[in-house]
Amino acid sequence: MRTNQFFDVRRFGMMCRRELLEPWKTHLLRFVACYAVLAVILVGYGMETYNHLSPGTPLEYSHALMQFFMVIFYAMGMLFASSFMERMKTKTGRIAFLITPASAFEKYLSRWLLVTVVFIVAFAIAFGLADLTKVLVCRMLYSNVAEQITFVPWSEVFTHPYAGWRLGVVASSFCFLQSLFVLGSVIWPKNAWIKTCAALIVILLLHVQAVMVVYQVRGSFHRGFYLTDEDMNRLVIGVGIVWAVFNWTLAYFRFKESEIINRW
Amino acid sequence: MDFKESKAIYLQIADRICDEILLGVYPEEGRIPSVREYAGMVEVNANTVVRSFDYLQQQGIIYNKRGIGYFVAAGAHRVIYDLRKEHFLQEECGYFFKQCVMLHISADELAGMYQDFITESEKNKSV
Amino acid sequence: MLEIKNLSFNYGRRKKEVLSHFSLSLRQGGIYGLLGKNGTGKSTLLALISGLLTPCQGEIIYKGKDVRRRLPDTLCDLFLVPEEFELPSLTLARYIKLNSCFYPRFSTEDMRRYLDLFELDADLNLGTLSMGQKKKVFMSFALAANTSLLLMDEPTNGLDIPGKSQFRKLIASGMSDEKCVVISTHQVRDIDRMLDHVVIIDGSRVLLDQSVADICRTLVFRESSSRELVGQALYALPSVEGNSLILPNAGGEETEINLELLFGAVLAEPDKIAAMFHA
Repeated sequence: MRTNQFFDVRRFGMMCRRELLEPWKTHLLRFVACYAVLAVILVGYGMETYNHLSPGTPLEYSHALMQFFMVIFYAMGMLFASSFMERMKTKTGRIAFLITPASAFEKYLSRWLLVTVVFIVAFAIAFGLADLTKVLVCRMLYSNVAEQITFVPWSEVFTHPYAGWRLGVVASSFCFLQSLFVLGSVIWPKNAWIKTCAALIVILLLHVQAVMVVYQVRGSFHRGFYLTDEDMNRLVIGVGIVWAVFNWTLAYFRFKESEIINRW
Repeated sequence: MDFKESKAIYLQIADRICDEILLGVYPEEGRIPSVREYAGMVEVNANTVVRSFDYLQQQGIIYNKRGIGYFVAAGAHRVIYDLRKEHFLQEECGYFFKQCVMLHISADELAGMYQDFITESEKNKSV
Repeated sequence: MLEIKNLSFNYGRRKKEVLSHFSLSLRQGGIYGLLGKNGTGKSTLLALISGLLTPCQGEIIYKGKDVRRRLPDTLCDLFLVPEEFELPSLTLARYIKLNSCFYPRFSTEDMRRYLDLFELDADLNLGTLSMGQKKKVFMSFALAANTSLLLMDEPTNGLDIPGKSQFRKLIASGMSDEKCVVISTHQVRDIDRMLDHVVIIDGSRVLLDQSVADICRTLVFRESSSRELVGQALYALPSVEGNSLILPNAGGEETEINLELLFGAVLAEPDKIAAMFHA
């Protein structure tokens, strides 16, 4: 029975299932760590804010806080992206992963889903649980202002007039950054995160001039061509996604050439 | 000149099966294990066991019922007994007699010793 | 079934090639012993056959496909038991559920049979097993996958004496006419009676590639203290009985193969031994 040697849904499903369930202890640990970090921050924030709150005063969540969480989301995203190729860290791991009867694309995509989609879902759940923890703990501690202790209003973000563009920029910049770390993980399966960060810093430093020029050009580009904000956003989103796809493709081909002994 | 030769494995296995037949482990007209089963039991390559089975078939000790397996032939005990007797007389006796001649042991001496041995074993049997 | 054509391989730019213009053919239904001293490329060869390494030159074709392409259909029909491997800390049942699906001919019945052979319980937690037990479980899985090609690197390493006997029974039980098993080892005595075919390599060269049947037809293995015989021998090693000898099989009567002795002889006098088979 010949199946498609590049992609077969059934086989892909088996691959995803294994990648999700086999290292369940690691996944669980990471989820708990994620939750713990978020819970500590949220409860800490809660204690800071609700301590000085007097009953009846309306409370607005600051944009700075939301942005802070976005940064955390990005940072964790990058960390998890670095675990993209952790199966390839040890020789025994490499043997087991490369000899699995699935195509390189299926192996790659299953890890990608884990590190992207599953991460986003898990992060959202962890955040939700941490927020719930904050609400429960703070309502207990500061029962006088109980009614004002609410969940972080993410729904406001989604109903904002520029929400669409903002989300687009966020998604594309996340994909772009993540793809850099995915590529880094494929090139350096061991200590991927540190090595990728180091590489990025080195690249940026080497191209400080270029970066500054780009920055100035961007400014004049914007004014000179009468680009609207929308167009600028479109450009950023477009470049981000295209570059991300390029990195992901590069990572895939590099992975395909992997051996159990690192010869290059 | 003395040398210890280890028989080809397939012959050693054939001997082992013959021993088992004589001991009654595999009765006449009864089934013996398949090639693979026996190979697993003695931890030997299956092709070696095939050779053993072929050899035993040739000697008329076992026969093959197609699709079912190998069986001990009727009269196998007799065949094994005769073969072993012949082998003993030809090979081992020849060497034994050579030694006796070298050590100047007479035929009468041998006959006497053999008779004593028979009497002794009959005594032990009845006890 | 498996053709290795003109294979050359080296790690990095070191001058010495691990394998050089190496060619070998493996057929269905055979148990091949791959023997060689430590560090002579046996593990590398197995890794190359599994497609885990890329040859510098030459190719390895398994059932008409180049193994380096790592096609899923090729990979699901071969299995490698490496010298070192890791098992996740799951229950055995879970492990089988997640991994056996990749091997279409995997048989749970066979798995149970092999576990029984090794006297292991069916409900084990892989995380709590000793190295020897892990090896037994993994080898059971390997045989139960019923792949046409099974490669084993030092399988008896780390097994206790009963374990080695159980291993032989495992191979005897799991073997079939459609399968090919390659056992790479330097512990020759553990498997010598299991082999159909002997391949002895030394770094880059194939020193011997003969069936056990041909070896027994061509050579006899004897213990003797007779000077005459020692003089005639192709190879002699002092032993308890006097000498262990390899002599040409002039009489046609076969003896049991002494693989350890043959191994020593082939390493010491490869050309002499090879000449016997070309005559």
